[in-house]
Amino acid sequence: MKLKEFESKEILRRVGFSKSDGIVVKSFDEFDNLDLDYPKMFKVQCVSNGRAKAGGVFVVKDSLVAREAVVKFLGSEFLGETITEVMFDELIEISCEYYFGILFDVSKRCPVLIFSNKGGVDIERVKIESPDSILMVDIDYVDGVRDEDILKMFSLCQDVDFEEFSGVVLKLYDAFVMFDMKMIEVNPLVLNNKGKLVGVDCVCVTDEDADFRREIKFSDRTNTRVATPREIAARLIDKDDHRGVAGKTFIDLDGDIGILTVGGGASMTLMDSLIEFGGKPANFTEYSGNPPMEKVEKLTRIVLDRVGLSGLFIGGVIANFTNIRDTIEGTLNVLIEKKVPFPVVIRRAGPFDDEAKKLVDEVCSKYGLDISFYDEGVALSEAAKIMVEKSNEYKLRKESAF
Amino acid sequence: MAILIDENTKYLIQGITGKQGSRALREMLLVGSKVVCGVTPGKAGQEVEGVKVFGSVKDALISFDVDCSLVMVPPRFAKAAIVEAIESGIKLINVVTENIPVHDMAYCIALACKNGCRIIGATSTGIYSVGKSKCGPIGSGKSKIAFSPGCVGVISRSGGMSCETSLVLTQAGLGQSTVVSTGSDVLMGSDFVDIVKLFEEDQETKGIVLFGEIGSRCEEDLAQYLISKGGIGKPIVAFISGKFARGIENVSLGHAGAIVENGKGTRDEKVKALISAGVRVVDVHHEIGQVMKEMLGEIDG
Repeated sequence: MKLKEFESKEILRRVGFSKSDGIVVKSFDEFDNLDLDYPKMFKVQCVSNGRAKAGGVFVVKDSLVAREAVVKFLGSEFLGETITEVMFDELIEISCEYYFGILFDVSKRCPVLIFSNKGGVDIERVKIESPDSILMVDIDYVDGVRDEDILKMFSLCQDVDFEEFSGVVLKLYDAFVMFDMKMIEVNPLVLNNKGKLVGVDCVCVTDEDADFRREIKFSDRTNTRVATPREIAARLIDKDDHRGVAGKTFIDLDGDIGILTVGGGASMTLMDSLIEFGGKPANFTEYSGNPPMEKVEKLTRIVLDRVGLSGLFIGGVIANFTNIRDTIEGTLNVLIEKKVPFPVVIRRAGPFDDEAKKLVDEVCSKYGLDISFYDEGVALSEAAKIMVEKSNEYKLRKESAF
Repeated sequence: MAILIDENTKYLIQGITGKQGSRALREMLLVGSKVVCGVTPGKAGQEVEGVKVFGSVKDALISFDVDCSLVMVPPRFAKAAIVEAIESGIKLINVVTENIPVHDMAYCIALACKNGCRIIGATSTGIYSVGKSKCGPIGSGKSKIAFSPGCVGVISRSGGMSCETSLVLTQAGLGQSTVVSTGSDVLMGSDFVDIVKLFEEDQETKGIVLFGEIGSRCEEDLAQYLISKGGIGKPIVAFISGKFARGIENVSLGHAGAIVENGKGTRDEKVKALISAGVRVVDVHHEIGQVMKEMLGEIDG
């Protein structure tokens, strides 16, 4: 999870790294109770990239301008996010700007330190425009950062004391390891007029799999864009019930075929197949790990809570342990209740799939629904093709009925 | 021949008394895998399905020779378990555990590298040398019908799709030599290049099928390897999922490593790289079988 600037700086503070002294404001009252020395750097707190370009970072010269800025941004939408915090950061006299980052090199499978003497700009651009001003040092995770690693990067420094530089590198690496970060980026890392290196802006990305042991907790967010009501509803399904996973990832799309996929790899394959055959998914979501019937029922309800659907596609790989009958029953309950007029295609195989098929047949004849059930005899992508064909037929029928 | 494991491979299961571990054990015994012992701290002296349980890997190795350890312990104990296996000298470790912190895997991978040990996973569903031996839950229950012995090597970043990919091959009349589920974590113990190198040397494997997805540099690195070698003389067919994800960034889709960050790791990039390296990329998953059949036919003809 990507952290906002003030959260990232809290991580740096914990390891004793110097950062600019920003004050975070979360409400108008908080602002009115402040007594700030101006000028300050006003900074919108968001997770999206490019906030400065979008006008979210600027100098405020007095409290009047500062208040205007707070009124304008706090609670408003900015780069697709609702802004809940703004920061008044100290203005630092800069004698030199650097970039320092730590992340995992997924090819080499080790941490890599990235240092550049061209800080304050997009590091990707520096890589292309002036590759000589950037150094990358692979770190052996077992050995940690060694003196020679630091020395390599130090060659790019000007007027920086080695002890000062070395301290910064080690503290940031400590933060990376201690707080289970996937990435730490300090940009710019500024050399101030006292010869000290200070982090002026910072981005941290946490590893959510290590949340259980991280000492600092951060409020949850999953996306840079504001979540739709359906996306929020889907995320809540797992909240109080830890059996299986349902709706953890839910993305609203603009097509007309509802999607309920099962399992990570299959979910993407199914989406792609549907698109390949000309279908348009209305959403992306998945469940896995043998969730109870009620969870599948809830997720189905959210998927179907949308007008203009022309199909529902449910698919997954041959399950080892998931109870096919029970999970499908969760979906069927909603289909019966809503008397869905459009075709439903299911491709599921695994424990109790024969019973699932029997149940589907019963429901179809009793309630007059159009549900097709396929097991492993039909490949995943073939089932997607059948879904698209059936959905197209349904749309044609609907049109000609007018 | 096959890669990584065969009928002689002797396994140890770490986490053998757990629900997942004991289930994998039963499924492995069903196909004749030689599971010689297991480890669960605090449960020394017990037996599961007649297999002896020890309190530590070190204790287990006093009585048994082990070629491969299957790690099926909860995520927060995974690092200790993997480190124990590496330090005990086991050379192949298959990690099935999901949701292991990235830093723990970074440590284990670095340590394995120093000790000449190979890690497959984490988030692997196992390794299956079809008709010979299997490691992990791969091919359990009904999904065993997807697999048939033969000459195609399968590498999949998705556990479930390692089975479906084998199924479309089987349906096309093509069996598999070894099926390797690499997992799709941010840091993978073994990636496409590592496994392709093994298939390259394997006499029995005539062609290779890949199931890739968005995120990581697995596919790009393989393309680079193939180009640097001028090909490996065996046809490679790939399906890369994630077409629908075009434009969706910073969201993990299904797997931790299946994420496009800052425009990197897109499907388009991967497909382009693989095609330029001579890999045949299919747009529809079930075409894998037919296309591989044609390509193998061309070689025979």
